[in-house]
Amino acid sequence: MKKFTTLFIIAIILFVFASGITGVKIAYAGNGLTSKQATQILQKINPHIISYNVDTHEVKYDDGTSVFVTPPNGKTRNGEVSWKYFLGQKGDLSGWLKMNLSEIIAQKTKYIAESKKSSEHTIKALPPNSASVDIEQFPQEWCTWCGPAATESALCSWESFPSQENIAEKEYKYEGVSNMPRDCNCKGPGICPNSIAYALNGYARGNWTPNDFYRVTASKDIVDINQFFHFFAMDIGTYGVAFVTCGRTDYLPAWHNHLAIHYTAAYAYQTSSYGVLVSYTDSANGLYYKNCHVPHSQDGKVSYKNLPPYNTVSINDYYNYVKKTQYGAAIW
Amino acid sequence: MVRRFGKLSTLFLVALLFLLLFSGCYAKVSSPVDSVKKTRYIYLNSLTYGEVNNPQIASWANGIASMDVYKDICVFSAGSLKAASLAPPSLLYIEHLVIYDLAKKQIKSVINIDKGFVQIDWVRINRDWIVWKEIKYEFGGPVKIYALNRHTGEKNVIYSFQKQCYGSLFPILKDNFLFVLEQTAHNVRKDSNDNITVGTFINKIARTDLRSGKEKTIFEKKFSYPGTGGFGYASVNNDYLAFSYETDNKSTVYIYSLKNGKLSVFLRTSEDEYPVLSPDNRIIYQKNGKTVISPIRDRNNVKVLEGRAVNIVSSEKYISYIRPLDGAVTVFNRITGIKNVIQGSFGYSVLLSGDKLFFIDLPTSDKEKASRIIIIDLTENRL
Repeated sequence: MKKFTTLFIIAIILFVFASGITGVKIAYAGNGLTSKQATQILQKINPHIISYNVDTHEVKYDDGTSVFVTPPNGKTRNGEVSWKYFLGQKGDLSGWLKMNLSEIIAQKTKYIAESKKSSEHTIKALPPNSASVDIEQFPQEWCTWCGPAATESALCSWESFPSQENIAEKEYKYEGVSNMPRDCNCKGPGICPNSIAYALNGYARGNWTPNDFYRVTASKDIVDINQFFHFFAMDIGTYGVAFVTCGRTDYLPAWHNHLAIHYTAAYAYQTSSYGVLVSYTDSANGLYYKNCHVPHSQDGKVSYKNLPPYNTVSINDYYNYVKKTQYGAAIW
Repeated sequence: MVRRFGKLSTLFLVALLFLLLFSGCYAKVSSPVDSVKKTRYIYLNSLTYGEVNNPQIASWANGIASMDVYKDICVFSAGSLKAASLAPPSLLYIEHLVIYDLAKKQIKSVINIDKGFVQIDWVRINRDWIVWKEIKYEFGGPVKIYALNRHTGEKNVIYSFQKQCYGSLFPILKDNFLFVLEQTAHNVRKDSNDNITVGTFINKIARTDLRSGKEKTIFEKKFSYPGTGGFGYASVNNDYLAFSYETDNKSTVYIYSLKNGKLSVFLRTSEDEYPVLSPDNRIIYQKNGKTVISPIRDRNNVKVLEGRAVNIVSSEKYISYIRPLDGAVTVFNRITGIKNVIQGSFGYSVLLSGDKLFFIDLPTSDKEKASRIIIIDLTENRL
């Protein structure tokens, strides 16, 4: 009888381990928090949050958008922000737009003045009607490296010239990606906007954080085209530096209705008879001219050989490029 | 008297015939002049037009990628625009093929993309077939090309590449034949990142009979990697297939006769020409940064239509395209010589079917959320 009881207990222990251990791990990922508990914590700081999933790390908002946040003591991935940082931002990643215009100007002016390269920047009291900063287009070296290439272009305006390889290493490391992809079909992961802000601030000002001169503004937080124009007027017009954006390529005429999300670097704006025009560099011709020799996108719409490195489009098109996708962002 | 009357009536009939001939009261076929006489700027909102929009299509139809029209049937690919990867760059999902009956305003059929693929693109339709392509990555395989028999409903995979396809595939549908411009890599060596370091690349145009599946190669060129070479663009009409083949420094436009299978060179330049055939055997291409038109048999007879233009299509009466400068859909009337620049839209995938102009219009105001298809009757709008 005693033997049977011991065997029975062992069997029960084995059964519990075999059937439930994975479930227990998933349910309590994130330092013992369940998805329900984590959601309740986040909803207290931001009522627009409807759910948090400790398994996928996805925070969903009531307007249908989502962001990714690492749970407490969890492993970061995809350039997502930490739990602590997210709580500090009150569950809102709208970057500079949490401040009013005068506060943003005061803070950005302080950062520029503190910068080691401040002598090379002339801060203008009022942004001019047209402005341009000296940057260079760099063809992206691999398929997923449009982010590092756009970062490299924007950093020219800070007189900072790290190699695209070094920028990619920093950005992928920040993403938690150990095997940096060097592929020709974009099979590997790309770069999230937070990682772009991290590298821009690191190389430009020596401050390795996504929350310094450059901050991420998600497309959902950009109110309208007038507010979007302020990003140009401020960074390019007032401070003489470029910034990075990502959005839908079908709004960029050179991409011929190709449907993808892609980074570019904005470096100029001007008023003309066509209205306000903005200029950006596009790194994607690198798919033909660098390592891959890719002639066309697989949908047949884009000839990488012919994709212009420097482009000028209406601000409406560039605004829609960023705004008309939940994955769009301005890192300014 | 009767005989005299008969003579008179014969003379009267002959005179009437002459009068009709000289007055132009007969079925006159106006030939295109292809000379731009006047440019007019008009707003889309000032025209009478029809539209196919979301939610008329379906609530998931946020984006439209590709479109084709045959008579009253419009076929297009549409989807959610969800990103395939969270970290950019990323392709956006276009998961459905929609067959829309313009006369009945009904969605007739929706085909869903295969599991693991991201976009349905290069949609084509004619009387007997619907053809489309499914892709997974920005470049390279896996890729599938399907053909759906419109009469039997039978769906077949015409091309399926997993790894060996390297370049893009351009499927061109003509009657019961599908021309596929493909690039494949052979005897390759790869590095640790799965990239090709050494290999032989074959650029080939294959003509497949969709009824029997029989394939015939009509053009082939090889090069050793790392070299370059690939197809630029291709277009077909009733008599010819025109295509450009590009290397680093030069581009060649070839003309393939569908009637006798003869392949000839139309032009060799250092530019990329994007050749487009008109139904009356003219060829529209890019030259010195301008869009020009020439008869196939008289290539030195060049007329300038526009600065650079993309997405060019042609019928016997019209040529339509997008101007990259301002993104405006433009319609050139080849008979009157009047060029109409349609403003107030963000158009793509321009098509001409009879006297109707179709294009995909991207949402541009904060209120608009999804792409729509615009249909303009060019005759009704006096364009």
